[in-house]
Amino acid sequence: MVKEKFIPLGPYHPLLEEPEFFKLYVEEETIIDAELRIGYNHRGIEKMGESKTFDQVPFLVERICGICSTSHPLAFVLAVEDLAQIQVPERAQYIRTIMAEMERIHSHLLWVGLAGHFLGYNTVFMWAWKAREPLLDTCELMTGNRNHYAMMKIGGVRRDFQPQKLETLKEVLSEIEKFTTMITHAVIDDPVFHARTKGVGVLTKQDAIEMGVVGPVARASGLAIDVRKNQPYAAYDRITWNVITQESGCVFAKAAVRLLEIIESIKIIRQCIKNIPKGEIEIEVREIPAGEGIGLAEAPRGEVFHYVRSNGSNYPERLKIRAPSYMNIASFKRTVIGEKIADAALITAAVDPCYCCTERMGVINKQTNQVMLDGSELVRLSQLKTEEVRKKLKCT
Amino acid sequence: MNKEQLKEKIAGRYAGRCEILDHSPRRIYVTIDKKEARDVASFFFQELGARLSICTGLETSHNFEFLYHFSFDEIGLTVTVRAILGKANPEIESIKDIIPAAEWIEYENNELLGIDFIGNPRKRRFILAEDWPDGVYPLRKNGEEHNG
Repeated sequence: MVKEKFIPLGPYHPLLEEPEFFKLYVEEETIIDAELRIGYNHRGIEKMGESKTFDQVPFLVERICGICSTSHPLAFVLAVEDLAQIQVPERAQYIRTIMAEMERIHSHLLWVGLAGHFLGYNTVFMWAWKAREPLLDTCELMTGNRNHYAMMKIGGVRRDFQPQKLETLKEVLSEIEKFTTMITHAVIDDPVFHARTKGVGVLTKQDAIEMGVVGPVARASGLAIDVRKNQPYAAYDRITWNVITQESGCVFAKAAVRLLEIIESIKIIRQCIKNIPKGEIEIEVREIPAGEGIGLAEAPRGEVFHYVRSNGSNYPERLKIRAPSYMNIASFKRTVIGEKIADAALITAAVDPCYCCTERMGVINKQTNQVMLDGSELVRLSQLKTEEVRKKLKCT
Repeated sequence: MNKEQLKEKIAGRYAGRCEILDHSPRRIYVTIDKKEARDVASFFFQELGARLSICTGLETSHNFEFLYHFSFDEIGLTVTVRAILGKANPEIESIKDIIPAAEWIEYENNELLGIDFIGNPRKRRFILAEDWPDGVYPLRKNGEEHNG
């Protein structure tokens, strides 16, 4: 008889927007069930928000996630601007757009690198992160920080972009475009990559609808939802760009969506740089009236949702935050059951919830509670599988 | 379907039993009786094809509120359905069998705010630590007095 075993997957890392812990029940090599527990890193940010003034909250929500440090404050200020019906100056709208797209590019590049690592393509990992580095430096050049930019404020942005800095950004983007095009072709032409990712961890369109997934995960399952198109904020409605979708919902589709989105983001930033108007970057906001507002922004991982209730004081009465991974992680239960342990790391990776947690994944014997396989062993298993597939396909 | 047609559909389904507030071009707020929650879920999700973005639970000075934020992506509209719950014993029927995504949202609101979801009892801790005291809900307004 097969002993019942589970793989604990998690908990979370402080860098990411949400903590999570998966328990994967396995039979031999196959995953038969999955459970979720979150909260290992619950910092009570919603409650903390009630004790900060409206001007302080953007700094707080910026620290929800080290990657989405534009999306969260942006969603919050959009919520307050919706509440108080504030019109933001045009130049600020363009600056917000540029910032949000820079964030998307560096987040997707980070993902490309880590996906490469999980597959055993460490060259991809190093190349992608090499390409990402100049962009982070440009973020620092333009905002003063590689992360936590402190750019968003109610009524506009905190810092203007000088023309020469936008020129630097343009140069960096050309390099990233070259790299992304090269890597996209490499991925599309690689039979090993196809064998490891096509048809693996499929999220069907119906499952995607039922689980309410958002962002690249939804778009890879054929749902063309993107806040930037559906409810345009910042300057997205003044710009020509495409929503990238795929139909199959597998790991390959998710990779394709993210790679192609980098190219779209570059297109968006270029148009913003070309069309950015001169003028004010903020308007003065004296007080926030009583009422409620909802702010939506498309983070690299999908829709960020902020709900703000004000009672007319300086402090929000309630601040509700929903990061995209909250919906996307739930879809994991539908994608991972029936798959192999060697693919689990990759399927988690495809949702892009957090890599740090997969590092800590381990297989434990339920009877003895002894760690049989730890995170690095699971990554090794995944890399080994790639090696086998490569031999089978006779490519070296 | 456009915004006006959607408003008419909602007003038609809950004639005399709802209050519709047209807040801004992309935001509508609908207040309903909490008994309608399951009907709202099937009407919005199954018939109108909306996506459940998230639910917000909150405590005000008079009562509890539970908000369902539905997103109509094709027409770029967020409709918030508000159910008012009693201060003493906040409870509402679960919608998890109608919208699977709601299961964890209800767990979270049960744990942090103490709203009971009939038909979706939480069996173990979901967000709070294992040694967190029972019956203490951090998002409630009187949460501070338990901190010491």
